[in-house]
Amino acid sequence: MIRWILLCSTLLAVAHAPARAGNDASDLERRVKAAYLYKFAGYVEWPDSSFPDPTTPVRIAVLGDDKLRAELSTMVLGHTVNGRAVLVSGYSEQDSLDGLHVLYVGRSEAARLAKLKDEARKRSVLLVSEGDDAIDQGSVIAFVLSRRRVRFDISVAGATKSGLTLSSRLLSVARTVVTAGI
Amino acid sequence: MIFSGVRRSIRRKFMLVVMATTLVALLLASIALVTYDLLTYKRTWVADLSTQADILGLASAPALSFQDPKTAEENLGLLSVRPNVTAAAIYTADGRIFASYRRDSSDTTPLPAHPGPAGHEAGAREISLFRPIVTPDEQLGWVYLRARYDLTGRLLSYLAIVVGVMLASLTVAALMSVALQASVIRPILAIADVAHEVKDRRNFAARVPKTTEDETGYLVETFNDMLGQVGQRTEDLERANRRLEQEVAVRQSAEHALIEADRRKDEFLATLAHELRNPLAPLRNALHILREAGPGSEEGKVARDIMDRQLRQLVRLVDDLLDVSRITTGKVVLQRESVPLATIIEGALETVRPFVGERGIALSVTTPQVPLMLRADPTRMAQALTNLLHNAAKFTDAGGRIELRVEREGLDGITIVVADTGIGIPADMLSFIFDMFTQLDRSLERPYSGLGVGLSLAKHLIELHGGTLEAASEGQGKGTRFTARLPGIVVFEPSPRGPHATDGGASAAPARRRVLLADDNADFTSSFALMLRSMGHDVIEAYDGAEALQAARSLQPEVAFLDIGLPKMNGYELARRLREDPATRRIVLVAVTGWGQDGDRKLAAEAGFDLHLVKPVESAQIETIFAGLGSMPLRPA
Repeated sequence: MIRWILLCSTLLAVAHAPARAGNDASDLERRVKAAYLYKFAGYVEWPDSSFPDPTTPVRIAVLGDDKLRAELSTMVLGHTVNGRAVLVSGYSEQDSLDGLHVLYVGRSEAARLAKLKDEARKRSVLLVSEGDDAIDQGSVIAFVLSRRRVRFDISVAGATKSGLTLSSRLLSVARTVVTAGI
Repeated sequence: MIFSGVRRSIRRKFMLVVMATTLVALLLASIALVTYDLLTYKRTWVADLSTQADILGLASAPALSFQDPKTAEENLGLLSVRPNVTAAAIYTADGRIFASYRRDSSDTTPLPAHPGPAGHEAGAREISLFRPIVTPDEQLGWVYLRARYDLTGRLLSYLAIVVGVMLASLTVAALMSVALQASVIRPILAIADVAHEVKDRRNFAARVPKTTEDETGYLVETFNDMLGQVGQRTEDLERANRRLEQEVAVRQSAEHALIEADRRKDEFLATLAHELRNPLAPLRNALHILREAGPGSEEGKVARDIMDRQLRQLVRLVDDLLDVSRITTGKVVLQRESVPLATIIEGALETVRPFVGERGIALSVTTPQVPLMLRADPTRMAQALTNLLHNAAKFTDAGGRIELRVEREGLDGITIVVADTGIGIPADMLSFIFDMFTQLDRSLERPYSGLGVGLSLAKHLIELHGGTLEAASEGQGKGTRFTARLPGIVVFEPSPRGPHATDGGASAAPARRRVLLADDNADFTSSFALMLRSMGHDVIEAYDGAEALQAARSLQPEVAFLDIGLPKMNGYELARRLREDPATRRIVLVAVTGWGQDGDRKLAAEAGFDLHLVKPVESAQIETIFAGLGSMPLRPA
């Protein structure tokens, strides 16, 4: 286990790490989630209308977890996804989902998932949240902790309803792939 | 056998050519192929491994991204379907091993501690490579593959394949060469067979069957032609050799004969000189006596007798020489006519009697009871008999006996035997005594040994008469017997029924005959008629053919002496007419003419003449004819 911790901490220096005991653990967890969040974009295919321009950046919005947002903002500097720049922004209730590609809903805002779901699906926004019940509430990808490591579940049905195509390679590393559901 | 050696050698060479060609071609092809393969093998293998690594990298990218080594291990586990890959690993971007794979769990070869650089590294037995795992946005890590790179093994398996292919190819090539040999080598072997046959048995008639139309066929044709020519030439040569050998043999025998003849001639010359000289001394002595004593005296008479004898001896010698010369040059021609046997015997006895008497030898003569007419040359026949008797007398001592016996043999032949009680002849010399110049006894006690030509002459003369002469002796001192057989020589059968038959021999008194004499020469006719009348015959004279014919018809003579060259009707015509007329058919016709050639005698005989006389006619001949009339056959009426 120590080996794993050591390995992960050095390997994914700023990006990700398995969960740890105490506050530090949530920091590490948050960093891993941030890294995963922007890496998901590499395995997702959006409809053409989502990227009207070859230079259109991938926009990721974070709701209900500012620390993660800050982490992510730092992380994506100098990185690209599919050759596109990555923009990270916060999200507030009055903000439009237009132009967004990925929306992360933190645990504190989980109650709004159901409300955001329809809007996200309509605009082909990849809805990512966390928790074992997140998929049921309309999330396409949901972070879960499995054996103290950050894993994720995927709802293929949700992706399809959102007009998104997920790479099978992404599915191969998911903890659970849900094909039926809302 | 040399022959089978040749056969094996050609077969082997042919096989060798096929095999060597096949082998070299295969080797070159194999070397080229293996070299090319080994060159491309590495490149292909590296490309293959790279692709494999890329696929692995691509598949493992999410695992790297989302920290899922288990999935990465699973991906690597798929390499189990590639037996050549012995080990694999995935490294993270900062150089840590993220996942690893070993085909053989006991493999302890360590994985590289750090990844990179990208590319391959080929060793003798294995090859390893690093490939980066790259997304369009970043490098996620490395894939490491290690695989067996068994160049030696591959080479060995290639070698095995090449050896196998070669063995198979050579076997097929050998089989094919055996099959092809038939068409290529068989004609050559056939030539070798025939060459062998020619060499061993000199059989130039052997020929090679031509089976192909290629160069071998041409060779066969030429070979056959050559055989024919060689055979022809050999045959010619052998024939020429045989001819040469025969010629040499003939020449050698001729040379021997010449040497022998030369030797005999030398002896003959010596003898001749001796014989010619022998009478000369007595002659000179006699001449001396004559000169001293005078011809009238008693000594003169003895001297004359001596000279007479010696001269006769000389004449005989010279005559013999002349005869030898004639016989050796083939010039003796018989003057055959009808002559009584008694005349011939009398002639011979007349010549030898004095000599026989001188030597004190008894001579007995036996002839057939019935007198015989012979168709012979009287002089030559008498000479032959004389020579035989003389020979007998010479080699018989005083008190001995000589017997002359003539017997009938068959219908028309006679046998004359001259036997003596003299010194005889050794058996081994019997076959030589008839050779010219042969003398058996040259002792001085035999002063009359002669020239050695007498017997040879006798034999020749008897053979000219169509007869044979043989000598027989029971050995030295036991006498000699010469037997002459003369078939077909008797012309007149004795006729006991004949009207004018006399039972007397040659010495019987002639009967009185009616004779017709026809000749246009009045002098001849008259003198001839005078002679005939003096013999006691009745003579009718005629001077031409017609007259003679008429006289013959009217007066029926028993004998007619007719000239051939008669006026009005020649002698031949006259004879023919007389023979045609039954009234005159039985007259004995005698041609009297100046022409004595064989052709004339033949014409006369054909015309119907019984006898042929050549002028001048001697009284002795006439007497002989009349003496023989008794034995004349009756002509059919």
